[in-house]
Formats: sequence, structure tokens, C-alpha cells
Amino acid sequence: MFVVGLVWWPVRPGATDGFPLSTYPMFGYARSTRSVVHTVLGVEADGRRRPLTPLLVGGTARPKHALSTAQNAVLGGRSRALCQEVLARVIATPPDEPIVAVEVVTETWNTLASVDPGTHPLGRSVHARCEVP
Amino acid sequence: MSPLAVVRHIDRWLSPVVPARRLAAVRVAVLVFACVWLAAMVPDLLVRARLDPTRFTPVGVAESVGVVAPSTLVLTIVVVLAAGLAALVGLADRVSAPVFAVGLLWLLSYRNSWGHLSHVEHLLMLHVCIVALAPAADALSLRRGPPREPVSHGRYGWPLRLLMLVTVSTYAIAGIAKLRAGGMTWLGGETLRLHVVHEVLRMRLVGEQTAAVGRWLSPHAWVFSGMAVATVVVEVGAPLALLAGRMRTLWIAALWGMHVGIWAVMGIGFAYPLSGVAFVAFGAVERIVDLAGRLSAGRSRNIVRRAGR
Repeated sequence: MFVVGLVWWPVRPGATDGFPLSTYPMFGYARSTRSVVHTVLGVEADGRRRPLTPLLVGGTARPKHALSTAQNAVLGGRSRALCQEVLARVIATPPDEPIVAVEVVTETWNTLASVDPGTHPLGRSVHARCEVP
Repeated sequence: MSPLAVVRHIDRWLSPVVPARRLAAVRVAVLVFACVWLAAMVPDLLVRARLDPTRFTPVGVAESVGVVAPSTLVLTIVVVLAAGLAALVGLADRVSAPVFAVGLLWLLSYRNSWGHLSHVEHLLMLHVCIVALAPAADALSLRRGPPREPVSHGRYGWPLRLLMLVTVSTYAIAGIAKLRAGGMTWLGGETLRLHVVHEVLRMRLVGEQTAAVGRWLSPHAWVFSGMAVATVVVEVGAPLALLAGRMRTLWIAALWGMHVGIWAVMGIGFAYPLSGVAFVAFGAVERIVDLAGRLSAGRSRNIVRRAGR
């Protein structure tokens, strides 16, 4: 019963998520119809932006880890450091399509419209830009 | 029914008399999964060892240890995997199983301490801890001991009940969390729809084209209403899986089906429940072991017969 009590312990008010005891908050909270996503993009010679792989953004192959890395960097004021880190990875293993710069950005999208092909973000804030030498 | 009778009934339910083979089969299933999972995570763990230490945001027991040198991480992985394999075959299980549980707890905490807390390993970790503390190697074990399997006993039943209670608790907590955070609005489906599409968008922005089903379903709001209601009913109602008989089978199938749905719609694979191992404590799994034993014995007899001709 003690173990079962432990598992239920995070349900108390004000508890935070953890491991291996969790509040299991996944997808429970309300979502806005606008999506704000922090990420790192590659800039092509003609100015078009495109996504970089999770390995280039976060240093691991895990997409969610890459997105968390970008989010933590933007919200923690470490966009410049992340930009330099990603640039170093881009130089070490250049993407198939060449890019001229790396940008740490926050994009705002109309969530439901974002699935339509050719849709663009409603806005984009560039927190740091690093030119590929 | 008198209060004493109720207490006795609960006690009997909490410690059912079951064969040692049942708990041992659960041990084998859980530890096979845990060892394979850990082995599969080794490349990811080693990559994380080279990340900038300023990105370390510790969770759980990783907080007390902090960032470690890559060589320490490699050594720990080797020791923990060796302990896991020993516990799996029942060798020195009173030491190997707890060492594996503690080691795995630290390794998975460490892996989750780099900015993103994944929820796919929580249940596995809780199950490994329970198996490690249970007398789960009294059968199907390579350890030296009495040649005969011990008689069925309640000491083999309580760990199984605990595994079941913990399993249904995690689902019930997840369901309650949705109702607490989103209220009855969550059941309308729009929150779920926005989460699914948001997830599809996020993945796209790091070059991942997953969750094609979620993208395809996104214009159909009514589908998400159905999925939201089904999710909350299945999660909050998870304790119904504790009931014996068809209700248990139905609810386990519903929980497994929910994970298949999450995988298809959101591209998020909860490997432990999807594999079915998360639910082995709910069944008489020793029958599979017995069947395998009979088939193996039958094959051996055939080989001997053929050799004798």
C-alpha cells in the first residue's frame, strides 16, 4: 500500500512532474489555437528557412529533446550559445542542402491551419543568427 | 459481511496464492524488456555524455549525482547491464536485481535530465523496482537451490497484485490529470485536436514527418471528441482491469488499443505497454512457460525417437 501511495503522491495539489513518480500531465492542459514553437532553422542562400535535423539542433537523434533544447535556450536567454553550438555541428557535418546561416527562432502558427501545405507562420522572432563561414 | 471478513477478503485479494513460476515468468518478461531497452538506449546515453553540462537539468536521483564523466557513464552501463542479465536468469538475484533497479533508475533519470522528461519509461521503472524487491527468482532460475519448485504461496501473489495496482494507478492518474487541468472541456475533443496538430507541427519544425494519421484526421473535429471521451474513460476506468474475467481482458485490450491509437495519431510510441509486457502481471503467464516446456519436451522426444530408429 505504501508503494501505491507513493505512485499517487504526485497527484497532491502543487506537485511537480518527476521520474519515476509523475503527474502524467501529457496533453491534459488547455492549448491555444496558436502554436508557439521554439526551434533552430537553417537559412538557404535565397533566404528560405528550413528545419534542421534533431541531431543538429539538440545533439541527439531525439526530436523532442531537440525541441526542448531550443525552448530552454530561448526561455533561458542562451540563444546565442545554442546558435554557436548548432553552427559547430553544421560545420562538422554539413546538411545535404547547403545553408548559409543558422537561426534560433520562435515561430507563431495558426495551429489548425499549420497542417495545410504551403502555410506560413504568423510571425517569427529571430533570437540569434550565426553565419556559416 | 463483518469488518473482519472484509479485511480477510482484502488480504486474500492482495496476496493470492499463485505458483512461483507465475511471478518468475513476469520477472523474465519485465527484465528482458528492461535489458533490451537499456541496450537500445546506450548510443543515446553516450551522446548525452558529450552534451554541454550547462544543459543538465536533473530529475529524480540524477540530481544527487550530477553530471558524470563519460567513462563513469560507460562503466555504470556495463555494470547495470551485467546485473540486469544476472537478475534475468536468476543468478545472485538478491544482489543483482536491486543493483539493476537502482542502476537503471539512475541511468534513466540521467537520460531524462537534459531538458526533456519523457513519460515512456515511468511504468517500466516502477515495475523493475517491484520485481527487484520480490521473491521473483524462486523458479525459472539458474541459481543453485532446491531442485523442486516451491509450492504456490501468497508471497508470489502480492508482487503481482502490486504490479497491477501500480499499472492501473498510472493510467488513472493520467486520466484524472486531464480532467483536473482541462475540466469537462477536455472531453469535447478540441484540446486533444490542438495537442495533436501542435505535436505534428513541432515535429515538422525539426524535420520529422511523423504522425501522418493525426495530420489526416485533423480536419475532422468529431473524431477527436470520440477519442477524448474514450481516452478519459479508459484511463480513469483503468482500475476495472483489477476485476477478474472478461472485464480485465476488455480493459487491458482497451489500454493497449489506446497506445496503438496514440502511436498512430501522434507518432508517440509507448514501447513498454505496446509490447504487452506492461500487462503480463494481469494474466496466468506461467501457462505460456508450461506450454513452451511441453513443446520443447515433445520436440526432444521426437529427436530421441528419430535417433533410435
